Amino acid sequence: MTASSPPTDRPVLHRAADCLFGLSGRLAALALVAILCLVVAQMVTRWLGVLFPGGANYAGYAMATASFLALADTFRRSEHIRVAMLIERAGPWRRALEIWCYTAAAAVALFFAWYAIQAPLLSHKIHDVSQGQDGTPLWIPQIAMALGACLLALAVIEQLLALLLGEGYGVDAPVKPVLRDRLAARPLRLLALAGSALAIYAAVHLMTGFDRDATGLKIGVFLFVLFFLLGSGLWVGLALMGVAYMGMIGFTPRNPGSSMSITVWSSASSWTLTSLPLFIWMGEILYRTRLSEDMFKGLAPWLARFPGGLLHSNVVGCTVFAAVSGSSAATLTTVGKMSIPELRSRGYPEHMIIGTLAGAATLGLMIPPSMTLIVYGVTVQQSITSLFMAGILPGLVLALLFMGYIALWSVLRPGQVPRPDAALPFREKLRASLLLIPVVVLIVVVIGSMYLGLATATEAAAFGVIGALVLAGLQGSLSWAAFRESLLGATRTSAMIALILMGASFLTLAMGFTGVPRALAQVIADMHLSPVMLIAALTVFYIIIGMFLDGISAVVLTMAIIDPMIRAAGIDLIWFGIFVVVVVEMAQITPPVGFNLFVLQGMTRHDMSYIARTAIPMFLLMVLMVGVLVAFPGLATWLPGIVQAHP
Amino acid sequence: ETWDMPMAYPASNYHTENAQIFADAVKACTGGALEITIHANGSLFKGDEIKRAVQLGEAPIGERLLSAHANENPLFAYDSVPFLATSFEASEKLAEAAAPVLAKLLATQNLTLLYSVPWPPQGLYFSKPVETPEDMKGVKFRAYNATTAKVAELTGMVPTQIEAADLKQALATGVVSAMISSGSTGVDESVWEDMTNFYDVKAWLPRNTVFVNTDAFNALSDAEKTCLTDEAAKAQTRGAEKAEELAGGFVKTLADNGMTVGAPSAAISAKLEEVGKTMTADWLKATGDDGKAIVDAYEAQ
Ligand code: NA
Ligand code: NA
Repeated sequence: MTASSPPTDRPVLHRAADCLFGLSGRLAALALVAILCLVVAQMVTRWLGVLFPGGANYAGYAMATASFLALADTFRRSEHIRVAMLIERAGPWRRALEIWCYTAAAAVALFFAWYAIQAPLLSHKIHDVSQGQDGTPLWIPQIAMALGACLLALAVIEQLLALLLGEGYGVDAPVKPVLRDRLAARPLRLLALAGSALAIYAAVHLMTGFDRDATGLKIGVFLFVLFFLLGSGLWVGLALMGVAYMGMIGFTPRNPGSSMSITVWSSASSWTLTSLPLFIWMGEILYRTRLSEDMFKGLAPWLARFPGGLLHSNVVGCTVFAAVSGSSAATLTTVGKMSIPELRSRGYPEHMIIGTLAGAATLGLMIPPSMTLIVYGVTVQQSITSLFMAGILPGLVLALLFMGYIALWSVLRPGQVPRPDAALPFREKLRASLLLIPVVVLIVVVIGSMYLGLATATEAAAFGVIGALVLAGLQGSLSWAAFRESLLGATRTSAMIALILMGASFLTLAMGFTGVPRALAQVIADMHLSPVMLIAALTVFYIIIGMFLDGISAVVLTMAIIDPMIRAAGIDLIWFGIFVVVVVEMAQITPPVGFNLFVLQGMTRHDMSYIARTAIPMFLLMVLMVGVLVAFPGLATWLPGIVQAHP
Repeated sequence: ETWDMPMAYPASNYHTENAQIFADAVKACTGGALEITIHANGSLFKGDEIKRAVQLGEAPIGERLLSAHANENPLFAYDSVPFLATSFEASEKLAEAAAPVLAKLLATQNLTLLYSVPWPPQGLYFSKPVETPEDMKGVKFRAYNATTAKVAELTGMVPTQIEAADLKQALATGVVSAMISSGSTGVDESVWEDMTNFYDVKAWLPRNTVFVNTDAFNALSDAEKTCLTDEAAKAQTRGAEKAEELAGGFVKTLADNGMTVGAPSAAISAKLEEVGKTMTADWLKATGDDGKAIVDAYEAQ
């Protein structure tokens, strides 16, 4: 972890604030432990045949608490991500740009905090209670939201003040020292602050100033704001919230803040989300023990002879872990945490490590279990089992495409391939393979827990964490300090992802109000294309929409129009589900809003534009995959057909 | 004016299709002055967010399975009292009997009741044939709220909490081997892949309720209000007819896909009747005079 410890020569007030953020970060870590305990309690009571009413809801509250309370600490340690391209090239103008970023961030964070405070007050006033079996009055768990959002606003403002009055450059200190500060004089800094505030005010004013029918103009402003906020270096989650706010005020008379608090709360406290921090934690434990190192030592002698060598472990690791997890972010963090340091230490080129990982992690969505296929299946009323079956072969084909690309690269660029570890005799290879056993056992335990009915897909993550802890304990390779670091690290990584998810859920709501995705889908519907042309048009359509929304939101927002279109064109809905997964996978790695890019930035500290460039070949392979699916539809439909024929 | 209407179910679901007809009719009869845009499948607000959103005016109109809000007030679960109203006809009568009380309750939350449409009756799904109450003992039963947990408890089954997102896998791997749900859910989830028996016990008919934010409603002209309520009444009749028409089809689809479909045995029926009596009494105790008013009005019809 590159956690920069705050300088000690800062005023008492700042140190007090740091203490406060640190404390709340540790409380968040406790909430993560609580998630684990609640999920385990939920499973154990079920095995015993005892009802634990509301267990899933309590886990959801713990999830929200872990996310919200860690926001400020994650911010202070600069682990929330931003597009740093411009910031890093700002040179003497660095301070001016940072003042803009912190002013905009403060505006969004204050707006967020204000409505996060309103949420529990309102819940209390209207007696809103949980709809689960717990029946908890919602204002109680929502206090964590209010507290966390306030601390985040405080952390941003504290940094803004330091930028205006002090010598520092915010949480994300420049790598190269700034030689000349154009804004060394305080009046100039205050001018930059005033200018930033004015720009924000003008943009809001502009959006509400247009008449109702100026839709095209508003969409233009909306997209401009999105690119501007993300591009200028605002933290991604806050930027998405800011853009969503602009969409809401421009397109609906509804109160953006109160709508936001509803959707942010339910996205942050969802039961299915609880598996994400647990899988991330599992990855952190494996990374901090000998387990991941051992796994690579075990794999190395076998993969060394393949063209492309150990790079294949990214694809193989993601394919295997995809069978454990339904989410791309969990696949990415768990595999990446282990493979990135090992591959780097062996000298593989950075762009190949990052690119193949960004692409292969999306297999988490295609290979069952898959959240995307569940959402799609429920939407179009198709059998989820059939969809899961349908995902297996295309998932493997896509994995082979990725591996083929690695092999091709190694042939075309032999100079970039590091020399393999010395070849071992067969007996030695087998001995090295013994090192693979612990991690293989762990994976078997997690997958087995699902297929034996011991755990649901969401709960299996708890088996992952406990399994990793037990293995580490048996090996004696996990110190108390390493355990603590793994827990705090996992808390911050999941808070980073949670803030982006919150922003994305608000943006999805705003997009729903604007009606833009529906209108675009309608344009395609009105073209009356042939099936192949339709698929081509939809591919382009989802690539474009997927740039701005996470893929599954894009699908939900457009399915009402796409669904009848597909049925009318006579396209098999199971096949189309696999097509949808491929385009959703693409959306994960296309800028400016691409989840795998965000997560990888958090893990590797590379700029998003660099990561996006490394992922271009994977993106093209996914486009090729759409072609493969069109040419060989049987890849998706054959397996479910067989299973249905022999029930 | 344009009203955004969040709905929880897919665009192809008959509840959503019915609401679309309602929206078109409202647009026609207000001469385009009031346009309702339907956002299906939780694409705007999700199912469990809809009531709060309409209550606070974040969406002017919405549809929700109100019985999900029974924690807030047990009256919301008037449609889910087991074995109180077990046919489409009875469900309409019950809705009519409950309307005044429900409208009063909704009014305190700044909501105005428009119409409600039933789901097909709830039946019991099992992974094995069940002939006697003994057969139900110890079976893991999916409970998703207090009512279903109580049904499990009173029939000797083991209530097992499974969230909607985990349901399919839980069925496939035997985490649960029984559940109570409507025929349409069974078809949506392809339950025949995991379960063998469907007993059409008609335990209750849950209703989706469409309500409007009272401030938004009051801001309409009198003519527009009349238009909205008239079309709502038509939507309720149309929706109930459609539900009844489809109900048989759902059960047939279950049978066509290899499930054993039928009425429960006499022994099971007797047990369920007993369960119904207990739970009706419980519900009456929880809801006091208001609940009694509903049941009295229902039985007087
Ligand atoms: Na998966
Ligand atoms: Na994208």
